[in-house]
Amino acid sequence: MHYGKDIGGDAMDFDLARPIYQQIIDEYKKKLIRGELRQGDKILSQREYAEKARTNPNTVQRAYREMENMKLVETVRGQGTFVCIAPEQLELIRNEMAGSVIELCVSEMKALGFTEQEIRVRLEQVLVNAKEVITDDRV
Amino acid sequence: MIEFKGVSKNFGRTRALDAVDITFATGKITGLFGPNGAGKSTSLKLITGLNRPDRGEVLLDGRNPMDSKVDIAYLPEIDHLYPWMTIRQAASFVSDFYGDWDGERYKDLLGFLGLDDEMKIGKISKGQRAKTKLLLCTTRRSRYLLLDEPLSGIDILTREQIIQTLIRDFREGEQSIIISTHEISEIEGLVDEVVFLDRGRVRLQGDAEQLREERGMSLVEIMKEAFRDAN
Amino acid sequence: MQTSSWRRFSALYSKELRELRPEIVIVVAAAVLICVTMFVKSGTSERDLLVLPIVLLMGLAGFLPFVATFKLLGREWSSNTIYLIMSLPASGELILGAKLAALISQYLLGTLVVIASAVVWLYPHLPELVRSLNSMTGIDMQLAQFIPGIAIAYLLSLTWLFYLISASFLSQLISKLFTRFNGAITLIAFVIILMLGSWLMEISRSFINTSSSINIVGTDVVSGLQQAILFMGINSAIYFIAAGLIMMISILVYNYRIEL
Repeated sequence: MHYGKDIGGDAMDFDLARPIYQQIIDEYKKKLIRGELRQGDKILSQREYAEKARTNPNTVQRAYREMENMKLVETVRGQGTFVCIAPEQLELIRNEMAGSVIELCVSEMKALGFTEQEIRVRLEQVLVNAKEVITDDRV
Repeated sequence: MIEFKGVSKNFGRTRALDAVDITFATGKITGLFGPNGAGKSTSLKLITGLNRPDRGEVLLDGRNPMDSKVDIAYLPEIDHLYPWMTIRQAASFVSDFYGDWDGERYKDLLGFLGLDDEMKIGKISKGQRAKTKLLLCTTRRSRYLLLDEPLSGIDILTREQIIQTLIRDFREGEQSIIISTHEISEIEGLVDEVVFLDRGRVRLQGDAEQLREERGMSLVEIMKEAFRDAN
Repeated sequence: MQTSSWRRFSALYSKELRELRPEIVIVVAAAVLICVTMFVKSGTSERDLLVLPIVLLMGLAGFLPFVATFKLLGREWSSNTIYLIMSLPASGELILGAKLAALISQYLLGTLVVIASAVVWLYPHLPELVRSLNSMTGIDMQLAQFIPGIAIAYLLSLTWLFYLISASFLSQLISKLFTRFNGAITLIAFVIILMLGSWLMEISRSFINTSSSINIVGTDVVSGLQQAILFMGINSAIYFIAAGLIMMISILVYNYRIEL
């Protein structure tokens, strides 16, 4: 069981200009992708999540219901909600998440007037820099 | 469900509400937003039966507010408790009127809010008084919970406790909560639905998540825009 | 899910009684003090002088409940507790009824304690009192004969108090219907209701149809006493009915007109 670490939740963490239930789902998706939540782990009950994140219980209920429909979690009556995701489904949301992050980055860059070539070069640069930082840390 | 049907209310020459139509859905937390003097308190007082409409009608599940008082827990903005009473005496006084008073929950909430019920209401801090008012309202399993500016003038930690209390004890599906405030940002994540009032008129009402989705803005921004358009 | 009327009434009644506690304590403490002094000074002439504080205290015990009507009702507004009271599932009958009951209790408690101390004071003087009464009236009177008269006089004082309380409630509630000049409106309404009261006095006098003034001195003392009892009885009944009506109007005003 991974109580406590499955939520960074605080009302302030939400972007109030976007629907909150989507952000709750995204948060769980990220935890699944990072492996912080694994098959069979129990996640917070709706009430606990709402209290902790200071969010409307109906909103949390909606997010959990959608996660069930998306086959990410399963609620067992009287026991709680558990991670219940098929490997291929996890791979699917992993790709989906990666796609949307990259797309966001690219579209923002394009909006700033960068060409595709420039974007490619800069991405390479960022990746190289990131590698150096990591190597430095290790020394 | 609480309905306002063409409700107008004047105080002397001041128009507090002007032909207002609102529906507060059952099982939802509704934020009643707007600047000072928009008609928020008057709306809550009309539901509680402390005011009567000049025109139109207010209905609680089809009934007159005067016949629904037992179903309402009302937290006014002003201090409305007897200062000479201890918290325990006030609780015992209130509990004599409502069959939905939950003694177990009282003890639980007292601990959660960090209140000592031997304390005299006239002698405690503003934040403790706010918590006491909340305690007396939320100890009941009331059908309607009406909170008038529950967070105004209260420190940040107490605000968080108050919000947490509301979430803890909210009964989805059966209880309706209406929170009036001019400080929207505090409770953005708490509300299902919003009603924006301005000078006695409804500027906007709708589902909070839907409004965020449609406009890509926070409720604070949406309200600012609605008022800019109105002026 | 409403609790029983009795439970709601007792919650309100004990709350009001608690509000009146300072006044009640003052009267009872003063009466006890007088009694203790009488005991200490027994047999001296200083003991006789204690009749003065007793009379004063009697006035206070009778007067305080009337003054407290303004405290019990008016303070709900000035301290904003009317927001609590009006949101409770309790109608004017319970709210005003509990206040009335508490004020009457205050009167009963105060006056009975003072009457008790008056009886203690009077006890050594009884023989001479009876003697002087008999020489004045010329017939052999028994003190017991006065008891019905005293009882009905007490009853009359109670109905007058009921009348004053109702008048005070109604005039205060009427003033709450206006946004300004509340004090002046209360006063004017109260004076008008009191004038109505003196008119009621005239009616009760005409009821017993006495052109001659009531007179307990002289040979016809027994019939004079009976006449006084009759007058006080009718007067009580009329004031009781009038006070009841005023109270009913007050309840209606509270239930259907008062707003915050």
